[in-house]
Amino acid sequence: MSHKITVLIGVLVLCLLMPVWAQAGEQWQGTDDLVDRKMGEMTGVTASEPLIDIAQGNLGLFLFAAGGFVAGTVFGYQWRKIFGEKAEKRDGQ
Amino acid sequence: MHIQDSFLVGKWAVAWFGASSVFVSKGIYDIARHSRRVAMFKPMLGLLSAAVFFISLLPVPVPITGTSSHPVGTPAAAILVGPFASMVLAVAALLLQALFFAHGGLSTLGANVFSMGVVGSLISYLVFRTGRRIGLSLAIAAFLAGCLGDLAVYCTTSLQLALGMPGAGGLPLTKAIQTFLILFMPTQLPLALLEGLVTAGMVTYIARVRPDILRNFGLVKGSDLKGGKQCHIKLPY
Repeated sequence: MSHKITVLIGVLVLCLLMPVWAQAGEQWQGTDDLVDRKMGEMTGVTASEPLIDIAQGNLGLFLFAAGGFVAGTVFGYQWRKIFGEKAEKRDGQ
Repeated sequence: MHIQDSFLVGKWAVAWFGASSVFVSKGIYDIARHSRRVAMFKPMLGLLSAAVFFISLLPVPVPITGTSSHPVGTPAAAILVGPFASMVLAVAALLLQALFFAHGGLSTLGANVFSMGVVGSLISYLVFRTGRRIGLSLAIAAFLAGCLGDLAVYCTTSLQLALGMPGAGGLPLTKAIQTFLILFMPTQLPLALLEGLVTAGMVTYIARVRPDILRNFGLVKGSDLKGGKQCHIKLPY
């Protein structure tokens, strides 16, 4: 058990140190963006504007925060149904 | 695998919509059928829909390359609720991401669903089932399913981009596929390992805490796990 905890802590530290080890000139650019750029170089075609431009002000931040909140709420609600104490009692009827 | 609008010519965009719709229709049918038969199916579907949406939107930094990308989430969903139901979850996640998060496009939704939903789910499920059949443990089979399912999604996306990119007439198909694979793979290989770990973690956690769910979903036999309740319903997927 202690071995597992040590490995988990090691992985967590590794994750936290990730930004320190970044080698790329423009750090943490998404691969989707790399594809967009490559497509532009190869074909001259650029991605169409999204329906909602999330680059405006804090709109992107709001949408990502709201999306994370909703996903987390749904996840937690269903988690309680599945792994909560009462769930086993209901299934055992 | 978030192919943007205008990156696929019309005939390929329509073709991927057509191909995906066949599988997604089967997924809707499966969800309706299993929801009536298995009590825990709907809650598991709800939990996994939130997980797939979140995981496939989450940019994870990869230190070796200095870039970021996201896992896909469908391997775990395919193992736990079946490959066809997992495809429906991919539709919901990708549609929301295209509408509100500028990730992917509406005209390319069919292509994105095909890579992440159809190929990701089917490959993961087949790897998991094959792994179990040849005697691999639950964790190892789920790990391999997560890894290979993730990589299969990005291989499919490379093929889709190479086939459908506008003005691709002069470029050989293999060269075009190679170009996109080189962009994806350095970042995606470490993330595939992460996806494998997450998938194995989810499956083994459920096996430990609610083994009856895995038995009810037909993922393990009664003798594979200790504790929990016995299985009375086996799903045919």
